[in-house]
Amino acid sequence: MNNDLIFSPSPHIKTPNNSRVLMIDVLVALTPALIWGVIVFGPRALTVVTVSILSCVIFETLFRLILKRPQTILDFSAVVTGLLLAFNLPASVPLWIPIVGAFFAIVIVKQLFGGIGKNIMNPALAARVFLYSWSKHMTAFPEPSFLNGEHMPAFAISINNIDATASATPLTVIKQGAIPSDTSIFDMLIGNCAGTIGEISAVLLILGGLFLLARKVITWHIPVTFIGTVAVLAFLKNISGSSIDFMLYEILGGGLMLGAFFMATDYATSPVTKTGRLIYGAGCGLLTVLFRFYGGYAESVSFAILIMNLLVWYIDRFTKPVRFGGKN
Amino acid sequence: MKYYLRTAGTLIIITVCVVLMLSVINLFTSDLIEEHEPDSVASASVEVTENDD
Amino acid sequence: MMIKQLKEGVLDNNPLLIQLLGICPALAMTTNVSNALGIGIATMVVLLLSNLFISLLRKLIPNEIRIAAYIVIIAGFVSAVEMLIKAYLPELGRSLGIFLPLIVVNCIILGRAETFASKNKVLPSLMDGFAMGFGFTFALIVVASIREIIGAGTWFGVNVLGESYQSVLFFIMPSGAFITLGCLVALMKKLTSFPKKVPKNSIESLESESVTAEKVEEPVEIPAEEEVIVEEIKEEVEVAEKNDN
Repeated sequence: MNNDLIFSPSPHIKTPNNSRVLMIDVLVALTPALIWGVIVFGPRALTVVTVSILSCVIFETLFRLILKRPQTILDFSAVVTGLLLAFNLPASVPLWIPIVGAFFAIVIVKQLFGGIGKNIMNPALAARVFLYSWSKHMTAFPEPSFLNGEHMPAFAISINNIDATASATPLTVIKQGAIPSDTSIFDMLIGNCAGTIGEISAVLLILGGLFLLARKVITWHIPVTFIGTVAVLAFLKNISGSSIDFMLYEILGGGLMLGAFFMATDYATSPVTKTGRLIYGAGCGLLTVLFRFYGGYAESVSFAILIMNLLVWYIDRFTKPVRFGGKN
Repeated sequence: MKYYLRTAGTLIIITVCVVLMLSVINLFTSDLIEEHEPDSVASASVEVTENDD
Repeated sequence: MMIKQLKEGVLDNNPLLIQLLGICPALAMTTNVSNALGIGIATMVVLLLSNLFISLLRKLIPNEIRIAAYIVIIAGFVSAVEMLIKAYLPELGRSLGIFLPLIVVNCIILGRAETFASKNKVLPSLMDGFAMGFGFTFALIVVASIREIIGAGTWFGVNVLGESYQSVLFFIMPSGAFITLGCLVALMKKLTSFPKKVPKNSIESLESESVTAEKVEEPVEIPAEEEVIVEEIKEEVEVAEKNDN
């Protein structure tokens, strides 16, 4: 018995925007990077992505069913979480890793806190950090093989001799103190380097980000301050060679583009006020650089964003705009 | 005055009883504890003298 | 009465999972089941002894110094237990480490002394100590089992998931402790509350679920507290009268 009359207090605004439209926009923005990931790493990347998305959708459906709550998979947020989770995994992970990650992201980080809009941190990133428990699988990156090279078997449950064929991402090389010599800046821009499925092609991710900006899904504040802070700090912390080159290596490498446009801008876990967003973006950038240089892992965008997620409540409170005539 | 005697007095009596109980237990267990966890300074000097023989 | 107390100690009023007391040893000492069992039993012994003596002395200890007196008594028993364990069960003492003396500040013991033992006769207090200690140990063992089985593939030192099981370090570390405990507390809250059946179509079906669940628990607590307040007022009137004399 569905009422067609909606009873609510004014103001009454009608707009075609709802969660589903926003989520579909995000999926469209991520598709070029997905296609590139499959081209570079072979069909197995597509398998990992599919397993991840299916697991997220199934876990969300089951959870809502068991706890007798209304189904929410039709707002596509589980699909987006699945895709973003897969984007953060190397293409060679055993297939049970995205399943475990999906369970952690959907059930523990998202649903147990109340569902969409109520999570305290980005579910895909929290799951990625949780999956670092199996660091052997999470840090073995396959070589980019393109359409002509050898591919990993698409449906294998796990790849056995990944250690032999693993290659270092540009950020790992920088962490060891050198400038990546066989990966040029142009390579990193278009995505001819090792890494996780979704983070390698900077230009396609920037394109997706610009699409989201044009569709008004995200605002410029967070990505610009995030990437800008990393750029400035990398320029100042140059380890050798040209400062501009080093700065470009740092902003094109790792998950920075993916994180700045798609993960840090999640509505539930980023500030509401514009000033708040600037602070949040700068904080993410600062923490990313700190952890990249002085932390244990070569890649640290995930940790930076998660920590800033936890501070969002304070940032919002701190940057509350003063009412007209109100006390300061 | 009676008030302070009652409150402080009770507390002192309880403390004394507890300390008595602990000393009794200590009598039984101090040797065994020495065996299992010797104080490091004492055992270091013991080891040195033994090696001299 | 006694069976009811036991059921309350383990389920409805579990000191760790419902009252949320004693979380410190629950996080630190549950990396394997044998440590959890050790701390649980030690806590239960201290609980039994302290409840017994505080209940025996409840009429003699003046109200103003009761917390100080309780702490002296509890600390005395913890020191006694620590000395006995170190003497007769040294390996257990070594693996429990600093958490054995830390039982003094375990809120369960002071909490039960204040809420129950100081206001009830000896036999119910003993039963309460046993029920709370048993519930605490039970909860500790559940947390430790989850952490040990998933984190190391063993249970009580015995390999249960096969030789090729890759241990998940996350559950052995503090982060796993927090998340396991959190999920268990949520599960326990769900199991011990009895939400009303709300019609599916109503708009508030989601909110009312949590509201009615809390409502059911409140009535059980209030009578005891009212009694406590009445008794405290009586005692203060007595003291005031004595001081006037």
